[in-house]
Amino acid sequence: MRPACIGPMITSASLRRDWLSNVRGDILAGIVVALALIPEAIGFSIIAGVDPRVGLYASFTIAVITSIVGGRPGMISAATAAIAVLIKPLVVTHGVEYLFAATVLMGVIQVIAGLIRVDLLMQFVSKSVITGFVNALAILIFMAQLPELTGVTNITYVLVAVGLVIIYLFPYLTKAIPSPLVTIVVLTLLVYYQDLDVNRVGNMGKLPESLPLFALPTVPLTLATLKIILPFSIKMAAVGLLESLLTAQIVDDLTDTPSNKKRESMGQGIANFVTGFFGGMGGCAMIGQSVINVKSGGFTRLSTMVAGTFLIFLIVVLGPVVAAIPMPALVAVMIMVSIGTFSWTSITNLASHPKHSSLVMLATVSVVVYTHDLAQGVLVGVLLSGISFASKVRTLFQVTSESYDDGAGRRYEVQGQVFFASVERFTTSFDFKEVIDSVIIDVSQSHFWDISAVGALDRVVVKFRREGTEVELVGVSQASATMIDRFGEHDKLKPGEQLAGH
Amino acid sequence: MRKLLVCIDASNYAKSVTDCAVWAADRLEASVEVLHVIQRNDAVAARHDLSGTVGLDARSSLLEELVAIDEAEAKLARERGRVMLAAAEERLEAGGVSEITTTHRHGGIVETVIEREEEADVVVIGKRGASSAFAKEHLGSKVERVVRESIRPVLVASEHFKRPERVMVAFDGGPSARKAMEFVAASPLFKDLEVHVVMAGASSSTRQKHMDWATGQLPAAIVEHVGGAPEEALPAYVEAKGIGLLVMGAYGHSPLRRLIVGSITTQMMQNCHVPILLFR
Repeated sequence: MRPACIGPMITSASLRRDWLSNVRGDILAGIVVALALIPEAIGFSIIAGVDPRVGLYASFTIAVITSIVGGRPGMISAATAAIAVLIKPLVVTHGVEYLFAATVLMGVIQVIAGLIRVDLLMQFVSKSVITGFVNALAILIFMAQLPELTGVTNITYVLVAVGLVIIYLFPYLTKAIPSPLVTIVVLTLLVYYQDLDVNRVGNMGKLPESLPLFALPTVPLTLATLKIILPFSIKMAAVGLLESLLTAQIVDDLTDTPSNKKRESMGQGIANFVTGFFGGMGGCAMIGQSVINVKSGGFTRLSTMVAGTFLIFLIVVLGPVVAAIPMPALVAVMIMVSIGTFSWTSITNLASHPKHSSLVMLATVSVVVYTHDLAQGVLVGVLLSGISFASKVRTLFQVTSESYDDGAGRRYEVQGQVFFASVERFTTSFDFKEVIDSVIIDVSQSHFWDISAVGALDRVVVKFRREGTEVELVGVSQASATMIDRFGEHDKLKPGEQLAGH
Repeated sequence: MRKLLVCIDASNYAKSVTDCAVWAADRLEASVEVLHVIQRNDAVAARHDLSGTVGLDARSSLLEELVAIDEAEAKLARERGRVMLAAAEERLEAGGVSEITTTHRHGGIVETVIEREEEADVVVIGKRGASSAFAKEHLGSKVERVVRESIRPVLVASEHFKRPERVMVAFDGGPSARKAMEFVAASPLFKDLEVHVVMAGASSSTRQKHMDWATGQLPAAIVEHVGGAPEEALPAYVEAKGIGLLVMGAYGHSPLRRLIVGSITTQMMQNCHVPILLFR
């Protein structure tokens, strides 16, 4: 590994590119994002069962810190739905201080994960799994709005509908003002002056009155505490990294610029570590917000920094006003985020994509919606796609044969890839019932990828010998070179010799 | 065989850059690689949509839109680039350069120049880039970044090129100036040219030592000392003696210092209207 890969190379040129190459666009986009972050941070706090200020503080610290130490300029990280759905049980049973401790530990885990290049594992997450992840996330965000939509006054539904109409139709009027902001302002004024009977943000819990303060989480520093928070921290770290790396990829594609995934993983860790001490919940990159950022013309670190600082500025200065925002306005914004996050083409693609891909996507979505844990969904998705890949590739070999010595012997030729999933098909390709004196098995045109494949060949040889047939193997060392290369043990492991012993 | 990396863009410096290259290639018996970089404006910044909404399939539709913007611009830029490269090649051929290659790349100007200069001996570039044509005395920011990051001597062409007969080395005794002096003494680029080695500033005891060293390098050189601040005295000397090419060490200080006190190199480039060969 070159030294350049270990630490981010910081030169005056890269600093300028990362911070100052698009000042106007970044500041405007940052403000747009900050305005959209407020309802989201409050909404996600409510999902997690904590005061809105927990999510708002988290969004501030995470956005500001990732803007500096993250690896993907222009990506927006803050308190997210993916983490919020995970932590509710912890908050309910142990209280919010344990959440802060879990967030600190989550940060530590992510930094370690970054150091050992867990980001490289993303290569094994297939497109179907990613689509499933995104769709599941959208469904989770939408489901989180349901409590605000059940057992409420009728006027709430009317306001949500009005909000959605404004969000989607206002941009046809002008694109100079963020339509979610218009929605919030209009609905707040409407509710305030008509004194409508709907929930307001102020009813949902405490809002920040000052900048976040540094404080150690008040939890006993014991093994028991660790036992409580560790499972949550691991899940939070995994989900956070997944969504962050996935979002980084999306921003890479949109801006056609590269990112440093290792630095991003560690940056997420540092941001969460610090956030825990400032009374914030864990967070990660946000797909919807990052898309909004790019759409609004932001793509450097500056826009993320502006989003974070403008957010806290708004909250601290406009605290009392924020408390008056009606919940239907937030619900409308969150429904928009949910709709924008969902991959709608994936539904039409169900008909045209291969069945196993669709199955992987649907399985990922179902597991997430059932468990409320994106990490489990992705794990299932990755396993399924691995299995479906193996089941395709297992057919990538063929065994041909021809007899010699007037039928006294038979020469089998194996061509292609043989590995654990192909073992059964491999074994049945040989005709053990044929009465012959000798058999030549030529495997020089094939690759034996693992121990199972070598074991299968071994079994074939044994079976022939039981029938009293002489077996000669040709090209075993070439065939298993792929496997040995992998292990790098040419000298120690000689499957050729091992097999010759039979 | 020596090689020049000649960087051209849409600015009106392209001609003098090419002429500069003809002169240098002739003296160095060098081949020439003409480089034009298509720098993409960020499509993201080109949008003026602050609506903050994400609709159905926001990601894929946004990607489609950004790709479409980039695509249209890239096609235009590619045609323009081809025309420029062809014009430069023609001019070089007319000037008698026999080995010419053209390189057309996408990417950042500075990054691409740094990447391509590996195989080159000297980089030739215009004093100002296409994007800064409107600010008369403003130096192309790209030029400074190229000079700072380049490991090769960079020949910065002025607006009009005239074959130099007298060369001046702005000498301060620093490591990059010594490097410049050694190059001037050894390179065929300066063969048979009248070389002035000029130090500026108040006299000091170490100055004589530096000047003796310079004489040692190139006995034929005229070694002189002028009073006054370098950024004023040296351009005056260039004017007075009819110097056709300036050689100097560049950017001895960090970018941070440059931000506060300014850079002598930048001021020299603004005040001297002759080609400048810069060494880091």
